[in-house]
Amino acid sequence: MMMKNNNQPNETYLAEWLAGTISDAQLKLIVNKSDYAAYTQLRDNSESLQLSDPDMEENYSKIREKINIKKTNTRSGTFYLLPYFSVAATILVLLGLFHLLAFSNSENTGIGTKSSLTLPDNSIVTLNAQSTVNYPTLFKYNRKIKLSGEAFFDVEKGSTFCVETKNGTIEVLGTQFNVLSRDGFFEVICYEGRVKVAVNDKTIFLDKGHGIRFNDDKLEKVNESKNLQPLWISGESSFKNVPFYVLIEQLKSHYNNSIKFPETLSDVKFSGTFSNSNLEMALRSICLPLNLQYNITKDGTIIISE
Amino acid sequence: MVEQQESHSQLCTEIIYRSVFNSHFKLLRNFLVYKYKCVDRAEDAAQNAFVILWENCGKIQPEQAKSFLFTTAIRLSLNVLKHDKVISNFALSTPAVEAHGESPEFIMLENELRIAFEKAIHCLPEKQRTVFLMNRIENHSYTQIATLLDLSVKTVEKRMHNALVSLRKIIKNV
Repeated sequence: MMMKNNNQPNETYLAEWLAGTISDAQLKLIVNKSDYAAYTQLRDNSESLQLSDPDMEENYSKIREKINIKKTNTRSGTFYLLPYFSVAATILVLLGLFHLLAFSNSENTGIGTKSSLTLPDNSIVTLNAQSTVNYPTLFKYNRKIKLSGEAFFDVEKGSTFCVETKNGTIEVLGTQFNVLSRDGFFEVICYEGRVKVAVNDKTIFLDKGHGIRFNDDKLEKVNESKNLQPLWISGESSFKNVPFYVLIEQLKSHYNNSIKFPETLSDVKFSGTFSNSNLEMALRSICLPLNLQYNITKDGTIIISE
Repeated sequence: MVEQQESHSQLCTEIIYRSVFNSHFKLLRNFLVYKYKCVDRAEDAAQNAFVILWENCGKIQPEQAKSFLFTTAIRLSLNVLKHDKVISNFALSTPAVEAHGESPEFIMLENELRIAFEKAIHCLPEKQRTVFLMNRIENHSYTQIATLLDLSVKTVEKRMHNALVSLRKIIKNV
C-alpha cells in the first residue's frame, strides 16, 4: 500500500480544503509551511490537468461494429455444432434408406371392415377385417409384404413377390391368391398362376384351384375350383372343414362382439358360409348346421351352447 | 406500467441510444482513462460497456443508463484486473518486456516539476487517482463522484485527502 498509517488516518481536511470548505488560512494552521507550499503547488498543477477528448464518431462506429460482431458470432455459433449436424445427417440418411427399404408403410383394417390398396408395382391387395400389411416404400425393388390376418393378392407379373406371415412365407411371380394367417392357423389358396409356400422347412407349390392349410402344424389340402376370388371379397365368409375356433375368430373379426362357446366345440369342423354384414343371419348360418343354440345378451356378448 | 414499457423500447431505438452515447461516453471513457492510465484500453472498455447497454436496452430506461454504464464498466474492470494478474505472473518467469501504452494523454507544460507531478499521478493507487482526477479534471463534486461510483461521500473525501498526501510523499522522494 502506498498509504502508510498517518498521524491522522481519519482526517479529510485536505479534501475539504480542495473543495473550498477549508480556507488557505485554516490549512496553514493545520500543516507546516513546507507541506502547505507543496499542497498549494499540487492543487495549482492539478488545475491545469487536461485530458484530450475522445473521437466520438470513431468510438460510436466501433460500438456498432462490436454489436454486429457479437450478433454474427451468435449466429455462426451453429457452425461449432457442424460435426454433430453431420452425424445427425448421416443417421437421418441411413434412417431414410431404412425407411425406403424397410416395411415402413402400413395398412390395417378394424373389426368388420375391408380395405383395398394398390401397391407401387400395381399389385392389388384386398384386406379382410382385422388384418394388417406392411410394405417398404421402394416396393418395386423389394417386393416383400408382411401380413397378419387375411388378404387376397392380385400380383402383377415381375420379379419375386413375397408375402411373409408369422406362420410361413409365400413366393410368387405373378398370380392371384388368398392368405389367411391367424394364431395357429395358416391357409393359402391359389386362384390363378402358381405360388410357392414355405412353412418351417417345407416347401409346397400350389397350382390354380388348390390350397393348403396348416392347423396346429397339421397339413391339409384344400380345393377351390368354383370361385375366381375368395367369397369374403363380396361380403360372405366361406369355409370348408375349418375348425370351429377359426370360424369364431373370423366371425369376431367382422362383428364387434365377444363370443363364448363350449371348449368341446373348438375342433369341430365347419363347412359353409356366413354373412359379414348381418350378425343374426351369420349366427343362424353357423348354428343351424351344427345344431347349436345362441343367445345375445344386453351388452352384446354372444353365448353359443349345444 | 405503460410509461415504463414506452421508455423500455426507447433505449432500443437508435436515436435515443445515440443521445445516451453522446451524453455519457466521454465521462465514462475519461473515468476509465484515470483508472487504467491508458486511453486505448479505456476506450475499448467504455465501448464494451455500451455494447452491454445495447444488449440490455429493453430492461433499462434512458435515465438509468449512466449508472448502468459505470457499474458495468467497473465490473468489466474486475475481469481485466484478473487478466492483469495472469499477465504479471507470466512476466515473472520471462525476461521483462518494455511496458507500452501506459501514458495518459495529459497535456502538461514542459516544466520539470509538472513532469514529476504527472509521474506522481501515475504512481497513485488506482482508487485515489480515479477519485482525485474525477474531481480535478471532470470538476465533479465529492457527492457526484460518490453517486457515480457507488461510494459514500466520506470514502470519496478520504481518498481525496489521501491522494494529496500520497502525491506529496511521492514528489518528496523524487
